[in-house]
Amino acid sequence: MNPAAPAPLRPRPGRRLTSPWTPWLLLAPYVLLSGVFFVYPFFSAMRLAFYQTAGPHARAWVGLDNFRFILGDRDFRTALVNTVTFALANALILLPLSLGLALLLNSGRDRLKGFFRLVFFSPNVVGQVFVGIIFSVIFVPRYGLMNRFLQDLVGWGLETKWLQTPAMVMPAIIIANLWLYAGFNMVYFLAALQSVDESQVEAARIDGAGPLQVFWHVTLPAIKPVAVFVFVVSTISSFQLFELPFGLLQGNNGNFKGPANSGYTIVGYLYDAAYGLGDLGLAAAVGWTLAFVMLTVSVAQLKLSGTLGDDGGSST
Amino acid sequence: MNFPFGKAPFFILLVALASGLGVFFTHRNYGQNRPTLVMLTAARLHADIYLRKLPEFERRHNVTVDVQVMDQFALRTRLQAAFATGGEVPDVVEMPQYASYFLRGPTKDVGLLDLTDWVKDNKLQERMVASRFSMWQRRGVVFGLPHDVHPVMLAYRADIVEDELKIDVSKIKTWDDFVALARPIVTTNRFALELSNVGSYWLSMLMLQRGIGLFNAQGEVTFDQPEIVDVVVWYLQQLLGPQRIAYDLGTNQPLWRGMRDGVVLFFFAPDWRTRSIEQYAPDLQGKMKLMPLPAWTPGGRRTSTWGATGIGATKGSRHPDLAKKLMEFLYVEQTDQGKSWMELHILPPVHDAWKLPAFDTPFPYFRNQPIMRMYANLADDVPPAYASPYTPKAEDKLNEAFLNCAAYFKAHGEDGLREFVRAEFKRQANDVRAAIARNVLMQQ
Amino acid sequence: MSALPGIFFAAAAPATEPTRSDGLNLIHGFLLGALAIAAVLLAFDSRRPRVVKRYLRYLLLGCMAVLILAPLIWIYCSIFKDNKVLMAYAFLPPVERWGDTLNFDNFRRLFTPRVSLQGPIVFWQYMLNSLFLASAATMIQMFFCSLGGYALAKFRFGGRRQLMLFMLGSMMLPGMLFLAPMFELMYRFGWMDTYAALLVPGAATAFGIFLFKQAMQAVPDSLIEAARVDGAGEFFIYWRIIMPLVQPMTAAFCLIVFMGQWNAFVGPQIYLQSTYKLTVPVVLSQYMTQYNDDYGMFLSGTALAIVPVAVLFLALQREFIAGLTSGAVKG
Repeated sequence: MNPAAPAPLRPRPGRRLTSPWTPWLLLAPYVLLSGVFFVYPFFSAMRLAFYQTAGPHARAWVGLDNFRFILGDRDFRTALVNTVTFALANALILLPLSLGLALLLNSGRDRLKGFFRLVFFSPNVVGQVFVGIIFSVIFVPRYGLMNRFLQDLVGWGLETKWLQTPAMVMPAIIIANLWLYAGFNMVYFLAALQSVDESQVEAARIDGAGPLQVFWHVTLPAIKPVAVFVFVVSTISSFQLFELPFGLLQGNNGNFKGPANSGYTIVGYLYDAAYGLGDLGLAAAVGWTLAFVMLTVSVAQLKLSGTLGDDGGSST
Repeated sequence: MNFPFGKAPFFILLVALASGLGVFFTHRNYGQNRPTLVMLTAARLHADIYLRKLPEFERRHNVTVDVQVMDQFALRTRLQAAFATGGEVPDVVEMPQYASYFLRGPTKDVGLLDLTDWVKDNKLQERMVASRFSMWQRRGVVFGLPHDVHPVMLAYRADIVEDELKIDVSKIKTWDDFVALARPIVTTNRFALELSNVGSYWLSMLMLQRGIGLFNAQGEVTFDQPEIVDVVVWYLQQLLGPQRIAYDLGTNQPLWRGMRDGVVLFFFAPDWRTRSIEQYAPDLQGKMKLMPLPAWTPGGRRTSTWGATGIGATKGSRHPDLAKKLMEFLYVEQTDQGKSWMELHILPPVHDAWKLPAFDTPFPYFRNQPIMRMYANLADDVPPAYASPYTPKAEDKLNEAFLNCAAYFKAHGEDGLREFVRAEFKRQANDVRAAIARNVLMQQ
Repeated sequence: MSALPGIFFAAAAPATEPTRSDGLNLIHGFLLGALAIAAVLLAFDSRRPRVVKRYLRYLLLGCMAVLILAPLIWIYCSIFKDNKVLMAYAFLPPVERWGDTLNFDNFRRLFTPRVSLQGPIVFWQYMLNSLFLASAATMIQMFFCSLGGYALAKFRFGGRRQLMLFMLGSMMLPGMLFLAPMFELMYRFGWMDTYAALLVPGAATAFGIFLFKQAMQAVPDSLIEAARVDGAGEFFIYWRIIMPLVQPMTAAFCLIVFMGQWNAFVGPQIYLQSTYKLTVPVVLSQYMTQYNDDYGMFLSGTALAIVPVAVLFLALQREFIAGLTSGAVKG
């Protein structure tokens, strides 16, 4: 950051003003709290994954049977496919759209940039569950805002039953999610674009590079750290998708999974195992399976983008 | 500004302090008396009525009762977490749909109180509609009392059907009669019947009318019995066939809007739906009427059931006897001459209650038909709907089977449809059977 | 499913336009809105655009803005519509019908005091509860997370790397998994139906500590060294040197936490019991149930619930953007 800064701090021998316990003291609240509210639930969940449970006392050791059942269950496969579809849509539609918006907004110098930033970010003031419920009304056939809009725009869609047609449920979830998060991610990209060196862009232009080449060779490398950050964080959260489809679908038929499980997600499956069926063992096994999937995906993402390595121990 | 976190956090800090004081002082105004009994419900409308009725119970037993409302998913989640960990539970719980969520383990580990003996001692099975206990029991062990009967009738736009089209609905005895009368009146913008594209409650309801439940009294999966083919094929023909008479208007306000616009003339009306339409389509006042469901076969059952609420007590309750008294007070005793049932448009499953004069009240909205009396006359024909811990799974599988059949029908028409329906429902039912077979705790 | 969008059940749809009482075609409205925004932009632009590309850019931005604002505008139109006409008009009815279709009926129902054993409760009580929980949680998290972030950013100590790996790993686990054991803990601690259950477990989060760590790494070590040489204590350094330098990050963090807490749904549902202690999202969700859903009341409540967060965002906009820049960009 600052080339003139002295070497990174190291406890210097001899005269030392700070005790070696200072950092731990500063971290004490976190360490204490996670000791109580993370470690206990963690080990409890780890043990339970090998049991079938009902109520506080009934426990039956089933070994790896929970995992065997999950991997063989058609519903889990549906949930997995839906979740992965959503994560892909997130990476292939949402993030490019956010980046596109940021580029579009950044390409001029109007004073109204702030206005648009505000407009695009504004959906975030509504909570996820409520976005779901609100869109369940917007997607109503014949009377919903979305359907009327489509009818007027392309002369089709007034009768589309978004939430009753299995093939349309995922698109509906993705659209609601786009509305909610396009602006949020755009703000990140917009911030990152400030660090693009204008002189490099000019230089590339003079060398005869087209706008695409400039984007590929100058802009993209400059915003790469942020892009990777946004990519990984939004992937992690899209694997935990639950509240949005829950809000969107639950009012429909009192069933938050959607027709033919078309809106079922992995966390939804976990919720159902724990609080529908009341089997904390099965739920724990789902949780570990999901954690494994997420860990694999994020490590792969970081490996692919070449940012794995130093976790930021020293100042950049 | 010397606050090291900046201006905005300073402002939030002020808000936190001010609202903290506000919370402190306002919360002090609420009574802090610990209630003797805590009751949990998912129905805000029911809670309003209970709050009105409870003072009498409180006087009678010199106790206090707190009613807490939460949405049905939250209620299920909290109870399930409490049962699973042995945590704090309310004394009495009003449960939407099925108590079955809580019945997966061995009977001794179920968090709900076993009411079998109490129900027997008080002759509640005789005093109430017996078939309604089907949802609140497991293999003969009763865990709850039914709140309602929810018989289903057909509600229709009398101003169009009778006045304009001159149809005599009393001639409609069977679904065949209905379809025959309906076909000529269907246009591109007017349909006879409301049916859902996803099957769901509509299919379950028609199945129950035909005598097909998801489960039988022993908790075995039964939704693939041969008669299902007739119901599903009929359903698909009416909704998607070349001579369709049905249209999906969805639920709730869009449905009432569609009824108002006359897109659909008949809709399935369990008692509670008559309240919704009156509330959200008030301009149909005097234009609606009710008739019994057409039967599947001549002389067959003229009603079905849709939805259920019930009440149970928890094993963790400190006053189980008082909890039972509360359940009896709210569900069996008639303390307000049926006023609350009229308000909710819900028929209670209590035989004595129907003798109250209130149940003969004419409803101006329905052309002065005494609709609660009409529901009461059908109540004892309501089919049982046995529940199982796997009911949610069975419902999902049923819908999946239906949707696959619908897709087949769209692609191939009626060629081989019956065979496909039979095989598909068998396949899905077997999935539920496999999940049940996996449960080692129930076999103990 | 083999179904293609729209084809699946299209046969059941009426061929003709159903009864529609809408005055303005939505597309006209959409284009008008987009054009209006583009026009305002042109008017405000100091350097008059000379190329078609610029007009195009304004038009695109205008279209996007209208699309994004439409659902919000719809909410604010719906709250004045009588339940009878809620579905009849996309936005507002034609002016000549305002008299008999627009009223404050939704709010009247929303603000009708609710009876409870502890006394009647008005909607403002839930707003106050939510406001307290969100602002208190924000302050607590801001303090503890920034302390932790300081330790990770500016100290080298044994176990530091392991701790960070632990923190990263803990973010990978779905919260739903911990709901039941957490419920058990809250019950054991006697925290059921208290705000402690909502404020304490999340008082210091791995996510927050990471955000602060990222921002604080940008603070030059020389500043800290100098202060230490002058004999300043660690807390003095944190309070006087570090925190004032990462103020934008702090503001961004506060906004994120506040929004999350304000809209928190699962936790308050599970832990709070007494009616007067409930929060806005919990109460709103009760208006949408299977047997009786009241869109009008739900949307009016949502419209009110949006206001505090919107105000906070408007106030913090500049810092929020700057904070994200210092946090994520320099990571």
